[in-house]
Amino acid sequence: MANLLAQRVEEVLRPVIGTVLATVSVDVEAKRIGKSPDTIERSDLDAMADNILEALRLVVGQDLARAAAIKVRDIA
Amino acid sequence: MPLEKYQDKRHFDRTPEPAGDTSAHTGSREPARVFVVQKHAASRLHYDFRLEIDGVLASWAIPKGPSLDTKQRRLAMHVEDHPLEYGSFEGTIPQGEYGGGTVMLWDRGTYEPVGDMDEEYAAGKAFKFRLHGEKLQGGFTLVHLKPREGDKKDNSWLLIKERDEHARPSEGYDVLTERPESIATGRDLDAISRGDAAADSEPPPAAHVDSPPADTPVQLARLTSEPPEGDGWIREVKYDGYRVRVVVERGTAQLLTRNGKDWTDRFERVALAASGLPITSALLDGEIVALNKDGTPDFAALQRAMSSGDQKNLAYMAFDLLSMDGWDLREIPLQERKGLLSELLETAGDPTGPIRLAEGVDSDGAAFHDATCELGLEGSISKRADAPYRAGRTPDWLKVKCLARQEFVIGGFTEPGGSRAGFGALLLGTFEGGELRYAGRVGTGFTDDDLMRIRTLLDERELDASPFATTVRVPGKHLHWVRPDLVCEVTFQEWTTEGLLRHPSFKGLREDKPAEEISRESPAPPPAAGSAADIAPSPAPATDSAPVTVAGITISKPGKVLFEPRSDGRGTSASKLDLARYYEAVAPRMLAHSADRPLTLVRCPHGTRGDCFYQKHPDSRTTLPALHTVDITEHDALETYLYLNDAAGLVALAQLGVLEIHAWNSLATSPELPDRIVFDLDPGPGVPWKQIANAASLLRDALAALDLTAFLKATGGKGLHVVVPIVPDLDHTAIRAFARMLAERIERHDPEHFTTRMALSARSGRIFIDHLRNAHGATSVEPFSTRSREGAPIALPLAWSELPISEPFFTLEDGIALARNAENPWEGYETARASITREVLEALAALS
Repeated sequence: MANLLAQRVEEVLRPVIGTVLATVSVDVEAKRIGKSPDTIERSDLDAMADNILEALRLVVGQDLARAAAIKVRDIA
Repeated sequence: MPLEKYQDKRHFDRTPEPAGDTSAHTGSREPARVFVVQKHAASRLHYDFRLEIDGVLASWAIPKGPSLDTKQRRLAMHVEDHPLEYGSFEGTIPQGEYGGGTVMLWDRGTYEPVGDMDEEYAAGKAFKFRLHGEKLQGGFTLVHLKPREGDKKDNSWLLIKERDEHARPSEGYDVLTERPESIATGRDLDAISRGDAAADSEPPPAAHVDSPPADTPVQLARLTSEPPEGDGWIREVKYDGYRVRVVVERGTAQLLTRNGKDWTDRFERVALAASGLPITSALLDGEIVALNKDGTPDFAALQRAMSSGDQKNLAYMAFDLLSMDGWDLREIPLQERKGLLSELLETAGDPTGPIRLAEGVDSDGAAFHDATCELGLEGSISKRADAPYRAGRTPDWLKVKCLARQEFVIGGFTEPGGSRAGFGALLLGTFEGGELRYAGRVGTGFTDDDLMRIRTLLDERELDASPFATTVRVPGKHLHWVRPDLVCEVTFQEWTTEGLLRHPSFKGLREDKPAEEISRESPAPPPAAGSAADIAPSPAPATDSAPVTVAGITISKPGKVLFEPRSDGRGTSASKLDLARYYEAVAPRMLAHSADRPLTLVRCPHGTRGDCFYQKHPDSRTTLPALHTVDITEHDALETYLYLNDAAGLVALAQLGVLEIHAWNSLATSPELPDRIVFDLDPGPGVPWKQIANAASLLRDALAALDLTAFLKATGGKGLHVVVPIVPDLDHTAIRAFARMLAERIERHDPEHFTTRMALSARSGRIFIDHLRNAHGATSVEPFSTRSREGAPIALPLAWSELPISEPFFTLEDGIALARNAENPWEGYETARASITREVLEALAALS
């Protein structure tokens, strides 16, 4: 079960890449930093934001990806 | 002047019709030509059928309108050419003017001429063409009728639908009554006559009153090898679930599968959520999925959920909205339909509830698809943002899968082995041309529950005889046959050249898909890059009858079987598409030896069971860009030969039904100077294989004694070839003389086992060393070439260490494996070239 922070990240990503990709991306990005959606903490959000920017850059373009990354950082 | 008649008949100050720009009529535009059909309520209702030819719209008036029924030949009266601008005209011609009445743009699109259409039309002969319209698609013929005796008019033609995948009997589907509306505005004739705004002007845009029926056929995606690039596409995740339509009606909801089965009870949670949507009525299109903990849709989990009734992880991913509050939305662009759907679901609240919006993403096609694959999803779908909802498989929706995966029909099973329960493997097939063709067996991916549950279903369907039209070989297993109406989904690595699945794994039963619709999926290439709006509808999907492109060559009738299977089970049957793909795969290795050589071809247009013939010289059918010609002097006359130099050339030969490729020993650039010597070891009756193998070794050693390096080739027939690469500095006569001398030397050395005489009487128990392969114009089968025999054997280069100890039978799969192998059995071929010098000849003379 994703914790509240993971759910917030998912909410940020949902309008950008859709429901399913948002959920799966949060899971993948959490695992990339050695965590899971139910164990991520505020201190993890910077690293997740960097990785999300990199992952989404090609998919939705630099501007949208950067905006999403900023919103993820803002959650902290 | 092409439009003279058209302009003479009209007063352009009184009619809204376009005058036409005669200055533009200087030739046909390439590449796409337009066609248009206008429904014209003049003094009598008729349809004006117009084809762009030579810069104008050649036109026919069809009183009964066009038909998709091949049996309905529609009279078409040839009328004056119209300007191209007329192709977008819809409106009312004032009464009293020529053609006074209402004109509707009923259909439009592009078309492809077939053959020499322009010349045939100019000569007043019948001609063929293929339409790519919204309503009319596929092949048509216009046949010019001879005037009756005494009839001065010579303008009667017949428009006839060709037999193809777009033909439809009028009893089941009459395109005129099913699709009466304007293709441009959705209006009917009355609305156009009244001057109503286009049907897309009021909310919901372009919608029609009256909801579509709940059983409206769904729109399906075509499988392509890559996502389309360019703007104008909405990218979506390909969901791994069941396609379901949700019908909402005054606080109730019904869930229907593609086949119209009512699954409301099976997905009560979704139905309950749908019934609470804040709307009087709606028709949603989407998929029921089961979501894993990591958020990925999981088909196996969906099946488990359906069995257990545990619906908490099920969700309905709604990706389209076909109607809303009594408005038919199918004609409005997808982007707008998705906007309305988003608003509807947003007002419903919970984005993670049982009904969720399947959002589209504005993304680069490849990047989006790569992301879906990296995240472990099934694949991606690209949908044209501006396209209406169209039932059936259309080029507006294109899907790309991350893994090879499709549905198969279960036609049998094997008994389980060891401690396994249920069954061993399922025997799978696909329907091709109404026949169930065996596609291989799947024995992994099952849970214990699956094995028992499916065995029960199989036992209920057991048959005495195989339902497969093709041979099923599972050595050492007792086979059970079943009525082929169960469908399962399988992932696999690839198709083998025998048309079987490699490493398949079971994913689940598909209760929502009818077995008779399951056929082998072949990904088509994506449309050319560019804006979606610029891309004309793509050709029909790759099926047995629809053309497929391989290496840039269009393969017609790709499913046509060219190689029948052998009764002893060796080799494989192979279709035209299999052959084309084989040559595409082996091209890099094959071309190293076969490029640029004058060819002699064995053509078998109807496969190994039909008549075959040798073709040395080109004809009208071989006039393809990938095939080149060279003129060579023979007997004081110039003769033209074909040659090729790329994969497209090899694939073009497959398209022509060429089952054997033979080539000269010299190149087209210097046809008089051979660059190889070929000895064909052709065994007479009663010669054991071991003797043939020994003969090849003996010949290799003899050549080595002359400092010549020999390479070995299995011919795909009964013998072997020994090939010697040489420097092309002597003519055929000299090389043939050398080959004969060496052959005669071997014959003298061992007359009991060798002969140089072709006569069959001299060959009994002996091997004929065929040195005649080295004469001017003589040919031998090329390495990797197929042979025109059942089972599709091939000629194959071999290393001497691979000299077969029994008669070999190499298959298409062997050829592809060798071509992909980093190790080349003919390594060093080019560096081994040597000249037949005086020293070589002296050494030959000295051989004992």
